[in-house]
Amino acid sequence: MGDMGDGGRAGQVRDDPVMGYVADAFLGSLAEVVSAATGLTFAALEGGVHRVGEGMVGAMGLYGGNRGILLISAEEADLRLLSSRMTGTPPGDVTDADMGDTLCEIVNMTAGGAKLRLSGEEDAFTLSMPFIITGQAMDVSFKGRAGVVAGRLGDGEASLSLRVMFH
Amino acid sequence: MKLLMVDDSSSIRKVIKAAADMLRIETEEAEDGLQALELLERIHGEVDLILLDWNMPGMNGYDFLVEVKKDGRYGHIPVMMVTTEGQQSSIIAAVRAGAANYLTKPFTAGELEAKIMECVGGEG
Repeated sequence: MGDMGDGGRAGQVRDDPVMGYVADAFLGSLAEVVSAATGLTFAALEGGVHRVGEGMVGAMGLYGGNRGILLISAEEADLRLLSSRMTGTPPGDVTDADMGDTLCEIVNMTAGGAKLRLSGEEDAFTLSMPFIITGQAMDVSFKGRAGVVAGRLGDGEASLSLRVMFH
Repeated sequence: MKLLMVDDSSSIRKVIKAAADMLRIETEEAEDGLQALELLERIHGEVDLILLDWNMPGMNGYDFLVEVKKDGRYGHIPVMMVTTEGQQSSIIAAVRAGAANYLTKPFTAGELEAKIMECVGGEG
């Protein structure tokens, strides 16, 4: 498992309380989503997050008050487990389409939860439709001065990596 | 008792179907508002509850809700929003448009079953 190259949550936000608040909102939301949808209790893991392109990546553009992109990635075996636990489908019957749909819904719910956590004011950001990226390992960069938060959550069975980049 | 679920996520539709099965409620499903309207044309007399996502491609949940509530054939069917849009402004907008109940994703199976029971008055 490679590192994204932009470090983990602690390195990213150590000196920036605003980005730390944003990171906590997204990572807290992701943990809540996994718990409610699958019954698994995910906690912060040490080490780098997945590279974009390793396994499957769910993405969503964020618009409105803050603009950026949310990326959540996982390896296939972990996604198969999460999809199985979420839908009740036996692991061996989970298809690539099932895994993609589950990951899109995890992205969707994570963004919605983070929006709620960040919305002292109403317009933290607006959600768009989630989509899936597959293929060879690649990197994603934004023009301008992007604020980046990243982190990895998991338990003994599975893990998910999260990265959010804001313009 | 029949429930129509409208959600573009097959994973969420499976979760809702499992909850409905537990409550011995039959289900029909659609992937977006337009498909749901086409389905309602054929089976509206059989549908007792609609569970409706907000953010969907094609016709979104809010637009579908407005269409349903202004149509005399469907307007009486209770609609519960099941959505990631948890903002107070979204909830108020949905209720003003005629939504009978609101459940924010993520939810547990127990929370979903309880909300469905609220909407159908304890019938199963």
